[in-house]
Amino acid sequence: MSHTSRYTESELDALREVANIGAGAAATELYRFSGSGVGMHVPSSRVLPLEDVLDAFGSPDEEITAIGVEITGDLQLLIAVLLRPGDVPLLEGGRPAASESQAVLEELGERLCSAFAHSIGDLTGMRLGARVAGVVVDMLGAVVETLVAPIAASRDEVLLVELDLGLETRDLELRLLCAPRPDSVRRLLERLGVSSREEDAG
Amino acid sequence: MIRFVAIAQQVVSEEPDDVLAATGLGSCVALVLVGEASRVVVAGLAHVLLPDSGVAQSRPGRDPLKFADTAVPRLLDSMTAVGARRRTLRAALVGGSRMFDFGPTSGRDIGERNAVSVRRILHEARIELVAEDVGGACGRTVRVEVGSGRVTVQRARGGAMELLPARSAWTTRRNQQHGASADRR
Repeated sequence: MSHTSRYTESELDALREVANIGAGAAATELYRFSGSGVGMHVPSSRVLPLEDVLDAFGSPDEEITAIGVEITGDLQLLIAVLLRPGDVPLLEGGRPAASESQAVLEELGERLCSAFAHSIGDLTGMRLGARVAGVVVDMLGAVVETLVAPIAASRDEVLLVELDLGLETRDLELRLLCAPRPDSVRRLLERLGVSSREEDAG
Repeated sequence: MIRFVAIAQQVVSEEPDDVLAATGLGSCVALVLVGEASRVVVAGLAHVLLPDSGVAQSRPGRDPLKFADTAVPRLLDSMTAVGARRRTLRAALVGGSRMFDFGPTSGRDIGERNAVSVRRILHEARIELVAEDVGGACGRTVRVEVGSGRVTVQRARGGAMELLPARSAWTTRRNQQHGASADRR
């Protein structure tokens, strides 16, 4: 399991810490959205060789609901908010009509990811925004590789950050899978004052 | 044996019991080549992530299997290296979807550009693209039965669809059971 990474442990620790702050903000927003207590795990930041990415987050043909979100501004990253198909009604403690599910999910993605982005922006003095890029119910693998492709041009490994949130009173778990561009990671690490070893074109 | 082909990997097989599979294709494309060696069917599958290696050329050592313009010639070479006759090769293309409406700096239309790049390289190599299931906003899984050359595609919500029938436009001595040379050209 010893994959040689371009990121040092201290860099990955710093990224986990930033993600933890963002996850806290997203959890607070999820509480506001759902009215339920929210639990969260410590985020993970993983550097994966491309050939391992598809299986790293579950079976690639597992069906999931995914909200695609693009973080823009001083940092660029893609986020997929993942939940089990059919769990949408649990979000609001009720049962929205099918036609409303899409709107509920888009609002959820926008609010969680905006909270995540703004907390990191506040921490670093960067200007960040979030834009929902669509909602799909489809294969997990297809979502993961769509996130990975734009960040993998100059590297044969990818850094992915995973945040896990859950509602305490309902059986619902959310995963935020974050795929930052390599040049954005470098910019963030520099802003945090963590050593940076090389420039990367992304 | 099912042989799963990961991102930026490719597999060539002449084992009739093998099934080559690329699972959960999103913006990636899977290029399938099926052809004849002297006595067997040979099948290959390349799981291509990006359309053009030009973006990475300043950084040596990048995996050529990741990019269409370098992965497709590599797959062709691997097929002929195990004896597949080039004039018998048929191609099928799967994937290249647009799951999300990402902006131009976040990989907009990578799926479409992947498909365009593979088609162009096949055309230049004079390999016939006989079937494709490309585009849209859905994920796909493709399977290739090496022994017969049959190719199927499955979407998240739907059954398997046959993209290339077994021994579609060609036959081999090993697999042909009747109707001998009518398809040979």
